[in-house]
Amino acid sequence: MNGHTMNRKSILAAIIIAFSVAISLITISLQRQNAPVCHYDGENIMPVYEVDIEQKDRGVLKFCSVYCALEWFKRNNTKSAFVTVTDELTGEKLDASLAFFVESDVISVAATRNRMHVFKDKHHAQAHGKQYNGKSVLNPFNMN
Amino acid sequence: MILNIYTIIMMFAAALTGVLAVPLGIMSFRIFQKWEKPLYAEERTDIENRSYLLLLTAAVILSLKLLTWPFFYVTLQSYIPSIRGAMCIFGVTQFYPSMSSALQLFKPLVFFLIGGWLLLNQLDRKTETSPLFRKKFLFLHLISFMVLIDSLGDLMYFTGFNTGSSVACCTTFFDVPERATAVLPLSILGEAYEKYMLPSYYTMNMSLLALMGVSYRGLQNNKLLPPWMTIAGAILAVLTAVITIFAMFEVIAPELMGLPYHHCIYCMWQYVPDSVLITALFIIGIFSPCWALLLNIMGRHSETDAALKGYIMNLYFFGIISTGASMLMVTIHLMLK
Repeated sequence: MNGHTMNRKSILAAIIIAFSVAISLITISLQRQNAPVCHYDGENIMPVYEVDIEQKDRGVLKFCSVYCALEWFKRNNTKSAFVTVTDELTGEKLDASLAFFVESDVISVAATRNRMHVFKDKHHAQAHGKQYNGKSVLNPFNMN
Repeated sequence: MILNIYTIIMMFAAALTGVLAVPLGIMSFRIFQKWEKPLYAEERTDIENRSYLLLLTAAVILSLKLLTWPFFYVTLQSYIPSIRGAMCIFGVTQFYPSMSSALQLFKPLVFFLIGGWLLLNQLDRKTETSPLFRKKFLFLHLISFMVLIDSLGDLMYFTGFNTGSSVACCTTFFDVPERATAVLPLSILGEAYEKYMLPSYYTMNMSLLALMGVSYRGLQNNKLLPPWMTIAGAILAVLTAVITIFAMFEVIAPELMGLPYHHCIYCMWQYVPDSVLITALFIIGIFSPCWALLLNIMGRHSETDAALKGYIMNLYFFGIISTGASMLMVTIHLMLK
């Protein structure tokens, strides 16, 4: 094999490697600038279904639905300090221990088939349950 | 049927390759049969003249078919907004799961065989007397049959979609403890299997790089590789592919996405766009030693020896670069996360 071919191959190899490294670095820098997505499945978060879990030592994690937050919480409840849910009628954030949870036939986040609904007021929760064949559920984010 | 520009392109490619695969298969088999008998010079020239057009058609059709493999996923990706519940390609594949699984397994095989045939055809064209003529037409006959099946599969699959029903999200499949990529390593390596995944991934990929490097050096020193060397390369490539697939699902995809409990490789392609390049480079890196084996077995002839050496060297070269680049990209992600 002559030197010319070797040189051509080395240049080609260097271009492929440099291109790959550049693409990776660009992707990583873009990922860091992106808007927050669900920490469990990477789905975009709709504000009315957002659940935030504050960890004891590592900041707040955002989830797209009660389903995703609960899947994470089951494995990491010892790391969790505080859970904030969203009233799906008003979009108001509230402590999970103060919220009313209803499991009904209505799917709120199609990707996760989440059927758990969060309400600030008891009568709203009852009305939803009555209308959509739902039943009241105790706070699933129980720290104890 | 979900009709968009991707579906139209996919259906066009499937129809074109499917329709042309039939005469391609029949004519290639006829030429294969005729070339066996003792022939007069005129008959031989006649067959050769007819074969040029057939080979040109085959090269175009098969090259088009090569492109349809990645385009299959591009089309599925374009369906995500149209199917309720789908958040990634996995959700779309759940619409018609048995067919999509069959196509997803069949397409890499077709891709591999087409790549092998295109290389064999190129190798044969470098010679004076075309010593691989019969072999390549028999091979083309087999591939035409597979292209036909694949094209029919694509046509059936993409016409069967509708937007009416809903599908399950990938989290209900990939994130359950009973997923296949977790159960097998768990049973072999125990509870702490995840910590062995990355070392296994690096060990296998580095071993493959080393073997391809040694083979490349051997060929550089003017030796044609013994078949066992290319067989070893292909076997190691397959083992590396298996380990890498497990590592991708279990450790690499969650790390790259920054979603520690989400093991979906389709979501990885969506959320980490350069992982598509990582996967493509990895596939080329794995297929290269397998193509080298195919060429070393099918392309050996006193007349092809010099060209064959060059082809196998180039395959190992691209294998080394592709595997190395793929591994480097994964490493950059893991280090900077």
